[in-house]
Amino acid sequence: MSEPVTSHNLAPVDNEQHNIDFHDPANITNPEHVAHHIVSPAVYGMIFGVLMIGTLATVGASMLPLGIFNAPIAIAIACTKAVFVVLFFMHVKYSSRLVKLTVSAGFFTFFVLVMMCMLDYFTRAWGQW
Amino acid sequence: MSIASTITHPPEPEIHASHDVHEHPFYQKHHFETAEQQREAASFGMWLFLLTEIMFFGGLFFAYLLYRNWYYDAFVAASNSISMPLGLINTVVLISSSFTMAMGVWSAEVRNKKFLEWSLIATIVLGFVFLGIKSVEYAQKFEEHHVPGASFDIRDFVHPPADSKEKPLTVDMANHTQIYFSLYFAMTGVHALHMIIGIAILFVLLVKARTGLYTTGYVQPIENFGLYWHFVDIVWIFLFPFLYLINRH
Repeated sequence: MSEPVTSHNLAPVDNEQHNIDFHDPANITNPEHVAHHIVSPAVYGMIFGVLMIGTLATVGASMLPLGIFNAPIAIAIACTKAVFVVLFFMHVKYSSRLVKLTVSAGFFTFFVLVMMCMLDYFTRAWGQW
Repeated sequence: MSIASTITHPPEPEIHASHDVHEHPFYQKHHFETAEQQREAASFGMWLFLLTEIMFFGGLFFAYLLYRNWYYDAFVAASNSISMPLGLINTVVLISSSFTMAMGVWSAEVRNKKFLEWSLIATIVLGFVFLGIKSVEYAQKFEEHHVPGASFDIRDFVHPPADSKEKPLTVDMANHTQIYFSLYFAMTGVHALHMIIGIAILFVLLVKARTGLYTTGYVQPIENFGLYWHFVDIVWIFLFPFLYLINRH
């Protein structure tokens, strides 16, 4: 018989008597125990630079007579900038799988909704625009 | 044990293994096992909110894409009537404010109170600069009678000024520039509303940061606000080419 359980001698344990205060950065099955990563100012500075270059690129591209390719290029540059913001400024690159999955599922759902609406509008008046 | 003796001698309360037994930081709520778990839950919740924001702005973006395809010439002419340099400056200002906010999150992480305060102040100032430039742009549109409604004037689009490179639009197409301007004011207006709300929250965060609350390891509120501010930045990253740069050559 072990000594009586009180609030003073009890280490926090789970059902299998594992100490849950022990922090294991390699633990990826319990994402809430993933090691917290501090993004350095150098990384933020580099991303700031990338965003500035992207801004100038999108202005530059809009000046070029590229016909129907102007829009896809503008969207591609904007998406690239957004990905850099999400991954680094918003820390998703260093986040748990739960957050990564949540973010990607959200953007994917948005993409599907836009595409379904577009298909509807464009096929109803096929050839009449 | 009889019922009577249970009443007179109640058993020691059952203590959950991970609850109020071990030391934990002051900001950890009792229903979380660890501060990390709480932080993860907070980020997850914030992202769920931001996904609803994507859907909110998404409807406007979809309407924009559709009408842009239907009335392309009207959208080009109307887009070229707004000031690209002001839009570019505002993009630089907003990305800079995102950078200062990111630095604010960093200084909260490394518990640098002074730097956190200055980062938040810089973010507030840049936010006001953005809104100031935006209001100058809005004022121009009102002066030019380019605001949809009773006082809207299609003259600039049907008879472009001699020094402009724009080709004249038919009256019907020129009237469709109102759709562009409706979307312009709706999208930039809702975006600006998000910034006004954000600046209000920034003031609250600044007051609390001055007490040292967020440089104790309690980074969550700063980090979650950072997520919101960066999201507003992302919306603008799309608005700028969509509204200002449809066809500038």
